[in-house]
Amino acid sequence: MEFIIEGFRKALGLILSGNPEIFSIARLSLTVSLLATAVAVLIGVPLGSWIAVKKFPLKKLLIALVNTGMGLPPVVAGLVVMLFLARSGPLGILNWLYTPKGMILAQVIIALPIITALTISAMQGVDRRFYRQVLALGATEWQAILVCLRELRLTMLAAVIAGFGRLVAEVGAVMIVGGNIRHQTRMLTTATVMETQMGNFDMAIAIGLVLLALGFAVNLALTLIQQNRVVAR
Amino acid sequence: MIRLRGLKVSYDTGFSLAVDSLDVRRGEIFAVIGPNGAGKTTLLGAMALLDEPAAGSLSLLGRDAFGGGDRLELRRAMSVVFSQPYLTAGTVAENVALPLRLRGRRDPAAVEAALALFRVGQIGRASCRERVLVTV
Repeated sequence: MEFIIEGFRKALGLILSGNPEIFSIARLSLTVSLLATAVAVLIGVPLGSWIAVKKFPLKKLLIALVNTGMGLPPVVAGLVVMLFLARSGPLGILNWLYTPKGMILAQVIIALPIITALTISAMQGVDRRFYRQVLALGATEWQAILVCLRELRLTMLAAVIAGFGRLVAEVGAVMIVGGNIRHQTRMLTTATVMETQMGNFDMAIAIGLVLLALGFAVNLALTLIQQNRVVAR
Repeated sequence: MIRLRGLKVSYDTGFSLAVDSLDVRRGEIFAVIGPNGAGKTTLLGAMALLDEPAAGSLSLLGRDAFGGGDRLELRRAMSVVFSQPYLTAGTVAENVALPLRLRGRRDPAAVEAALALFRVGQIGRASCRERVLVTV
């Protein structure tokens, strides 16, 4: 019990003294996960909307596959991305292995099915007759989708929250693709694993607290945006 | 203005509709009356170019509407309001402006003119920011 309290005390000291290493790690974590979420939203929202609205063969199978992707283990995503980015791999020419870009790519692959699947289910929840009404008022298909997404903005923000939450807490993919290299690809999660294994519990606790605080801050911001819209209703 | 020949529409559900001929002249008010499930909405859906018919030809404003080409332009030449009105979560003004916005018109004058059509002008601009407009 003693060492836990001692760990927390030292951890708070590290944070309050503004340990530069912790903050640079936090900055990288935030940047990588936010960028990956943004890319996943830019691809996943139009893709999910298109899948939801269009009729095509094997649509149900595709949706089942996307839904399965929501549970994609990060280590598997990391392994696949690593194999692709490896020097002899198909994308080896990019030289992205053990770089933040590679970690972003891996995290995009993890978040994409989440954003896409949640968009599909949200769009399918829109009354088909509403969608037809918007088309009948002169909208193109993409315009009608945009009008529906505007109606769904609360649900879509929840999808963004779910995607970001998964990424900022994820350790497997960034560990494999990034390699936990100090000052380069060390993330809050990989640093926590490493410090724990090395027995530096105070540092591990400090980083863990920063991770929690970071996740809370971003989600608080998103939730405030979401809930303000509820009040405005 | 509207000339429909040999229309056939069928849905996956097995429902199908066949209309031999239908003509609507300029300035004419045309009503289609029928019981539930007679196919009124299906007919409207095909004529509004929202559904793909299995067969038939439709001439709108003298142009072949089913023969490929730019359907969007023809669709934008008309507006269809279904029996159950659907509004967006926006204000009255935003709902009125929506069809204009979809056609790329964002100028306040156009929205103002559209609102004037509904005599909303009399109620005052403030009400247009409300979400629901109750008229007596």
